Amino acid sequence: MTPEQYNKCVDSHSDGVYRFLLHNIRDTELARDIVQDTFEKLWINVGNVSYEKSKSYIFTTAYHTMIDKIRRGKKQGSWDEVNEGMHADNKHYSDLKAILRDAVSRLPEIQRSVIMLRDYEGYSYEEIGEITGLNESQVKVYIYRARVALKEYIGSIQNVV
Amino acid sequence: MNINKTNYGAWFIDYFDGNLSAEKTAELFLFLEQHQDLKQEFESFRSVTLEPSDVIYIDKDKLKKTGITAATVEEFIIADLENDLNLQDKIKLKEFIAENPSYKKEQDLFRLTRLQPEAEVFPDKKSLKKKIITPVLIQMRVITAVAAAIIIMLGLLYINRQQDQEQTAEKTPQKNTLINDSLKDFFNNADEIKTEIQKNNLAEKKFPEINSDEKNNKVINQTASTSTEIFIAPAPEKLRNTDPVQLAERKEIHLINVSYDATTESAPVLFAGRTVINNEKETVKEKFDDIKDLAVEKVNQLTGEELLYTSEIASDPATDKLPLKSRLFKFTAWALNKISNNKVQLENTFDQSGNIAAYQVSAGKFKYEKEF
Repeated sequence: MTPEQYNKCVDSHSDGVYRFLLHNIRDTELARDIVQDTFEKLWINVGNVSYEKSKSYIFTTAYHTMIDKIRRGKKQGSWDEVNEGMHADNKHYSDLKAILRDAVSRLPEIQRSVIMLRDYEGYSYEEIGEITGLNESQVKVYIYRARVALKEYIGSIQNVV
Repeated sequence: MNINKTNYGAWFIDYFDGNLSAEKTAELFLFLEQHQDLKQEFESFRSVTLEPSDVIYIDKDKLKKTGITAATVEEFIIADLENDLNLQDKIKLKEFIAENPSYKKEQDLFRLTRLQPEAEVFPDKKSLKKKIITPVLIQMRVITAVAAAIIIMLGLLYINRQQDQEQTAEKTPQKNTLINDSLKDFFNNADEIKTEIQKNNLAEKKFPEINSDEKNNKVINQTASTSTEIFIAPAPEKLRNTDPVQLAERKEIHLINVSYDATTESAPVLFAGRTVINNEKETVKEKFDDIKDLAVEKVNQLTGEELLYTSEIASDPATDKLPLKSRLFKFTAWALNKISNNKVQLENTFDQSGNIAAYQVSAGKFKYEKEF
């Protein structure tokens, strides 16, 4: 990958990976730190990573860095801790979006990651497997379980409302 | 084999597994009657025997590939959402839900679980980006820097050579036959030459710049080279005891380097006009100025800054007093350091008179020193 392509990656993928991290760990500063770390690692390996594989590299690196940080005991925050001003359209979130976001936050870590990679980034089972270190069947199972859990949560909230 | 104290364990297991015949079972119990101490151990073998379990797997239907059922419909709905179904299964699902409308709500709920892209943006993309210097530009920069350095070094060598020649000339004046002959002619036959010049109307036409107040400052010869005329005149009286080199530096006169014949007792032959050829000192200075201007322009192009050599170095009053060679070294040091962004450094050492005493070129681990 050339330096120009690296900068193109920043434009193309930094928002996506930041969103992925932010929804996973709900900590703005930590998410920004991980994005910084991720792109620094990409820059160090800029000669070894092809442009076509760059998105996968970025998400894989970010995912593992995030897992590493979480396992080191970084306490996950709550959405209340996130600087709401960081979100461009935060005020326009529909009720459903808020419910869904809450539901996602309740998912187990691995289910949350795979469902976000699937829906936000449109990754295939295989690609998600590469990023998370799971096999395709495991990815599929986690996505199915996540869908069921989200459906149950949305259903229960709708019943209450 | 009969039961005894060494093999009774195998008999116990066979008994509880139902593998002993009636005859052997009788033999076993006879043995236990004879060895009451083994009865407790015999009973302990009974407790390790597992009873058949009635646990069943309740999701057998989900494993079966018999089509959509109430047990598998959820999986089909999710698969449909994930676009994992083939056309045939999609049709089956559609038909199943049409036949069982209660699952329509389930399907709608599952559709709501798809996360919609949100608009969070990473706020500091600039900090992630890297300044790009393309290889071509790097290459060009190196080539241009080397070219500029070569120009400067060639200029340096040229000046050195010229100064060496000059010093040699001062020590052992060379004779220029034509000019020295003319010089002798002047001293020996001044009146004749004057007459000849007057006859050809050369004096009025050709030498308007000669100071007419100096009666002794007469034209003694005129000869033409290919394109430039050489004018020779004796020095004005007031300048005759002055070092001609100093006069030349002060631009009060122009020195023809070969015209001073140290073997004669005559005054130095000087020229006070404008056009002079073979005036090495003048040529050297012009060359230095040309090279310096060119190099400053090149340095500015390379660094992208409007760096003025005169404002950075020559503004130091001490610089102007340095000999030409020292000034050239000082300029070269400035230019090299600027071009290479201080990666290549030329450091000069001057003696008390301001002459260059030594210089050192260093670039990384490379180092070269030269003492004069």
